[in-house]
Amino acid sequence: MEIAAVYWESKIKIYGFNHAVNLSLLKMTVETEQMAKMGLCISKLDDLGIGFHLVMAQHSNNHKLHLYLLSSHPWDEKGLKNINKEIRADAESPVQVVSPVELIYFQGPHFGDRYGIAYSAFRILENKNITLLLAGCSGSVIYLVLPEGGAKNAEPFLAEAFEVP
Amino acid sequence: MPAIKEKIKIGGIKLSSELVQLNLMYQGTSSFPASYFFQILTKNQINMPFVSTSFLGGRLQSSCCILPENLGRVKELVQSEDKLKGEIEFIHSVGMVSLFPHQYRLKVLGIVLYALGSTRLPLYGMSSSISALTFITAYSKLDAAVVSLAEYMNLPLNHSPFTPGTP
Repeated sequence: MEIAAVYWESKIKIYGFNHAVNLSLLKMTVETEQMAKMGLCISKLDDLGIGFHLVMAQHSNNHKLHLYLLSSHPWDEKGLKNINKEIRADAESPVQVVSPVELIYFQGPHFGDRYGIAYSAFRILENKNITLLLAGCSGSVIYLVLPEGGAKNAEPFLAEAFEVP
Repeated sequence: MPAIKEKIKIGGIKLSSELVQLNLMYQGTSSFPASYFFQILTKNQINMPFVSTSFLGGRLQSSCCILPENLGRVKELVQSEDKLKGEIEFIHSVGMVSLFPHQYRLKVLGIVLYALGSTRLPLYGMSSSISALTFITAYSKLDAAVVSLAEYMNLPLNHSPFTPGTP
């Protein structure tokens, strides 16, 4: 017989909630063959002093790469046009911006090694009908990107499921 | 195409053990199918060391990684759920590469995309955390990914060997 030890808490402990508001979520979609070109374009954004709060990428089965960049940078039409021009030559726009959006994130001990952590956050948002735009969980951190006003709405409910000792 | 010429300094690269990636794609009015899927994994005590979910423009895409030993169980669970049957794509034998610290600099992201793209290595997913930038590629290509990244990054001379570790 195999015995496995599993660490489980009725209320998951975290180190506290953090948030950032008035952010822009930039979504860029390219063919996977264009990834190197996109890398060069992103690298140039760094040269302009643009940083990030969260980056995320997803691959879809039609050979497309979706890159999400959450930053405080106020993208204007000219900046977006430049990105469009850099990453793709044709006229169809591969860049979308959702703004303003908000971020709430938190970390806890060994989150990446324990089951049920991400679901605990998603369940709360679902039960309270709070729209989730983006979520990224790697390492010991959960990032939740919400529409304007979402962070303030969500935090009291998340605080019911997660405990700050 | 111009190349990235300057190298940037990073603290290290960590590789995961072998994993399986699950992708859920769905057109609808909410992100709740992802939550439902994660609920099923939670009930069965299945850990996900990596999760990403996007819900923009009525299109939901959710990805997670699980340990290979949980794959059989997850396939059974998906088959038994009408809402999920046929909705999940499985990518077998993937691995995570974590670079740290990213210092919230887009240069690190740009180099990852450039290095993988110019060597035709797959990128199945990515998410940043507080200090690391983690991406998913084919497990068999982890060494190649490190070689391609090292071309544009200065690593500490005393960096530990690049061997796959815990997820």
